[in-house]
This record gives sequence, structure tokens and C-alpha cells, in this order.
Amino acid sequence: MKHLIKLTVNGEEYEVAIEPNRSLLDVLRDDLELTGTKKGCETGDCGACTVVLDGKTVNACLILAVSANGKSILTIEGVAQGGKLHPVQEAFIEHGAIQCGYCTPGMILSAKSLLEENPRPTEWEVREAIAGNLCRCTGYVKIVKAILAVAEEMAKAPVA
Amino acid sequence: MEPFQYHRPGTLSEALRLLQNHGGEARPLAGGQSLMPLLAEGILAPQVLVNLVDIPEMRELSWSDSGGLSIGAVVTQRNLELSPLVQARLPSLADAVSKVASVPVRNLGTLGGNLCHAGPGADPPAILMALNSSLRISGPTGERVLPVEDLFVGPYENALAEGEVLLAIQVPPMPAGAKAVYLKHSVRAIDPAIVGIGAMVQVRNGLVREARIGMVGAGPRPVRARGAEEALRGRPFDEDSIRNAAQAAAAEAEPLTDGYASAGYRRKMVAVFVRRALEKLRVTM
Repeated sequence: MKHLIKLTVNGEEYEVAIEPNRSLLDVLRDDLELTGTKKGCETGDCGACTVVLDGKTVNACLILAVSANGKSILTIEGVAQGGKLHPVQEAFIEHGAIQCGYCTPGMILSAKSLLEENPRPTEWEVREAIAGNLCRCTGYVKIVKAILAVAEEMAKAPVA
Repeated sequence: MEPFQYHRPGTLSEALRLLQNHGGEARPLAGGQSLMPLLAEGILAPQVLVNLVDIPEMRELSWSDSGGLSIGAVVTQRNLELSPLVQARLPSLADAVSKVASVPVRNLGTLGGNLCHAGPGADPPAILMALNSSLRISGPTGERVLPVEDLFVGPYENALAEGEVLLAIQVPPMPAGAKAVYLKHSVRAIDPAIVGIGAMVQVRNGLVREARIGMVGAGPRPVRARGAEEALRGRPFDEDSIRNAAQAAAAEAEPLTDGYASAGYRRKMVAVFVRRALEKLRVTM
């Protein structure tokens, strides 16, 4: 039996009729055509499908879409605002923290969430925060540098 | 994923009724962090899922000076880890829970789900055993209480009867002067523990009055290291008793070989990590 669910994705409201055996990841990619969220392992190990659900990072492969009914979701497509990249996105480009790019959407969302919770993380805290995001190109050093650089910039910038 | 019916009851009685009506065809769902991979890979194909996350009794996190901490089964591991209450009263529990997998997994994954999944290398059972925790289990015939170590029957097998659910985890206050710690040994942070040791020691008048040690990764299921506890009780908390406890724990472990480590390596690491955990407690006393 299909369930009618409501999702707010990147500020837009969607209503979709879905079978309960669909992951949030599949509904985002196949029904809403938001393919920036990547599909990797489907077992919660790789973090390629990281999205922000009601303010918290989750693996979209590990939650049924029907369980996300009524929730607010941020995917990588919603991170840039008004055509302007988020500072974390800018820093990833600046530091060459992207190789094949498959882990990047998840990395960006994990990094963004970390910095919102903890604006001055230590290198260790950055590494822990992205422990659930695997980079198979093994480009971790530049990813960590990029995230730390954003924290440093934020500390310098006047508080808006 | 095979098709299934999905229910999201708002009360405990409705959840119990659904589980009972569908018998063995129904599975409770909490955070889904262990269940979803099993569904995705077709290892499990239940006909009915009963999502427990809205049940008020299972969502509570509270403290009482007599009973200690009561953790509703669907409280997430991330909420526990960041809870000022848990950090203040039972810091070793907050720390142990923070070692589970990754932030996204802990954001959805519940303590109750972690325990009921009964993974041999799950972190929380080790510290919960050390802290003398018990479980409140609810079923068609009422409620029962089970010591946490009795939940684990075998790898991925728990002691709940058909139609029963874990309601809450009860962690008593720390005994006076006691200290507790959890140490995890794994290659990557997100892996299950190759070996995880939870230890609680209470020293009175220079002698160990109470010692409880929980081990994960040391066998097919989480177990108490009763021989190691015995090697400490009534003795001075010193290098000798710690060495004896570490040896006893290694001797009583029944480690398995899997993709993460061999049985022989695990046995050695049991001795190492029991010793390190106890040393860590000793220097703070």
C-alpha cells in the first residue's frame, strides 16, 4: 500500500506517494531527481548519501522515506544560496579537496554541520566528524585542511 | 528491499497489539541503523514493520537519585552522548556511546536498537554491563526486568520473546567512590570493536570492594569477565591484581575470527585492553 508523505527538501515542499520499502535516498534521487546525494554502499558505511534531516546529518540510505514524513531535509543542492557557494564549498575548491567527487556532497554536509555545532574544531574533531564519510581517492589531508581553513576564516570574520 | 506493511503506532499498547497480531512476521523498527542494511541486502524480509519512535515511554531520558538514569529504548545515541545529564552523572556511558560508528549513524541509531541487534562488537553493552544496568521489557503479559548481560543470547540474537519490546535501559547511580571507563580497540572509528572493555571499580579502605568488567568483541556475544572481576575483588588495586585480572579475562574470552581480527589477536588484545582500562581507573583514584 502506498503512503502519502510530505517532505520539505531545500525549503521546497513535496508530496509523494510511495511504497514503504523505499529509502529516503531512493526517493530523493529517483522521485525528486535530486541526484547530488550519492548512492554508495547502501549499508551506512560510506556516507556518500549524507543529508541533513531536521538539522542533523543522517545517511539517507538508512532511513525509510516513510519514516521521514513531515521532516525537513537539506541536500547538497540546497547548500549554495542565491547562486553563491557556501564557504565550505569554496574551501574545498580552493584546497583541491575534491578528486573524483563522489564523497564530496556528503563531506560538505558533514563539515557544514560540524562547523555549525563547533565553529573552532581541532584537527582531531574534524577527523572524527568525517569518520562516517569515506573518500576512496584517500584525499583526506586536503579535506581536513579545507575544513580547518573555513573555521579559521570564520574566526577572523566579524560576527554578522 | 522486499515489500512490507509499515505501521507507526503512537502508544505502547498499540505497538504491542500490532506485534502480537502479526506474530513472527513483524519486526520492531527504531532508528533502523542496524535493520536497514539487513533489509537492503535481503537478509531479513519481514512482512510488517512497527516503528516505535513515537512511543512516549520509549522516548524519555530521566534521572532519579535512587534509580539512576532511565533511558527510553528509542533515545538516540547522539542525544545520550551530548546530554549534559549523562555527561555529568555517567560520563563513561556518554563516552562509550560516542564511540559507536559515525555521527550520522548515532543521530538516528538508538541505544535500544543497538542492544537488541546484539552485534558481537557493539560498544554500549560493555559499559552497560560494567555499570550494572538492567532492561525493562514489555510484552503481551506485562513487564519484566532483565540484567543487561542476559539480553545477549548469541551473535545477532537477543532474549526477547515474540511480541516483546525493550522499553527502557536502567543505569543505577555510580557507587560511592567508584570510577568507570570504556576503551575501544578498532582500526577505523566506524568499525565495530575488535575488542571493547567497559570497567567499573570501587575501592574502599585500600581494597577493591566491587569490580565489574564487560567485554565485547571477545566472543560471540557481549559477556562479563567474571574471572577478572574475581581477581580484583578484596585485593589492593595495584599492578599485581590488574595483571592477574587481565590474564583471567584473556583466559575466559571465547574470541572468534572474522574479517576484522583473528581469534588469537583478539585474545591478546583482551588482556591488553583490560589492563589499560584498569590502569586508567587506578591513576584517577
